[in-house]
Amino acid sequence: MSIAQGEALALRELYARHADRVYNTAISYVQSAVDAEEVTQDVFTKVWRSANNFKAESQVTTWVYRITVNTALTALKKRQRYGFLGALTASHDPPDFHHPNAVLEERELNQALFANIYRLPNRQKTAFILSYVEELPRAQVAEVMGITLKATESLLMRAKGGLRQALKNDYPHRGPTKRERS
Amino acid sequence: MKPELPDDLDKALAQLKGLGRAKAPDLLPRIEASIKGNKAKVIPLAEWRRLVAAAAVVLLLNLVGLVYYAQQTSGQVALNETSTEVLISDFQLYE
Repeated sequence: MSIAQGEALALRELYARHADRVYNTAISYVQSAVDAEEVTQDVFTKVWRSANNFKAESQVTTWVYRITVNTALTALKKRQRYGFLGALTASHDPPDFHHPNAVLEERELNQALFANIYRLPNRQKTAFILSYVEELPRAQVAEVMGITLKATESLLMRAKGGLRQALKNDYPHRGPTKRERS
Repeated sequence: MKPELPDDLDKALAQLKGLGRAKAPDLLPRIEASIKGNKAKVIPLAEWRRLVAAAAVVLLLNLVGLVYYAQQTSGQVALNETSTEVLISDFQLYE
């Protein structure tokens, strides 16, 4: 792999090819642009430094996703451990976030969805983000997570069940629109 | 039979489908600098907050200590003055 030889050009190419994937995945976890930038920077630094250990049998994309997921989860863990004034106020509350590409009329629901994604257990969160935000095929999600396809499906089912219930609790007053009723 | 209406999750998932990826800012210079080891040491905000909190606690303890010391000292002076007066009157020193 050419990046293992320390070529700046290879890093640029790698960045051009994967930066949006990494950033989009990272921002879905940490739900803050500043933290997502930090995670993205960390990921590419790790990729560069561990390029020699990269096993060619694994796809580069899968490998980059794996590093991204681990780095984002570590960032979340740190945030929850060192909230303002340390453990006293360690925050488990989701930030006020909606996906940067969400259009105005979709923001409310998008924000509620991401708030509830934030509260999911880590494995369910990873399965959901990779499947529905990154839109990876289930087989690749399983490969990134190092689990079987069946386990991935099970995680997704639980994640969706949790999210469905949480959204229902968030919006008990919301029913179908007039158009949906007729 | 009426088809089942989409709930909020279905709607949110449908919205996610057309969303596309968030575009990454140009972080390449930062990454290159970090790889070259030229990255300036950045202290995370959480670390700063903990440092400020620790400094505030130390300052507060000092302040409490000073106030306590000042109170003790003024009490001591008052006591000394009273006991001196008693001594003077008892032994009629200045007469």
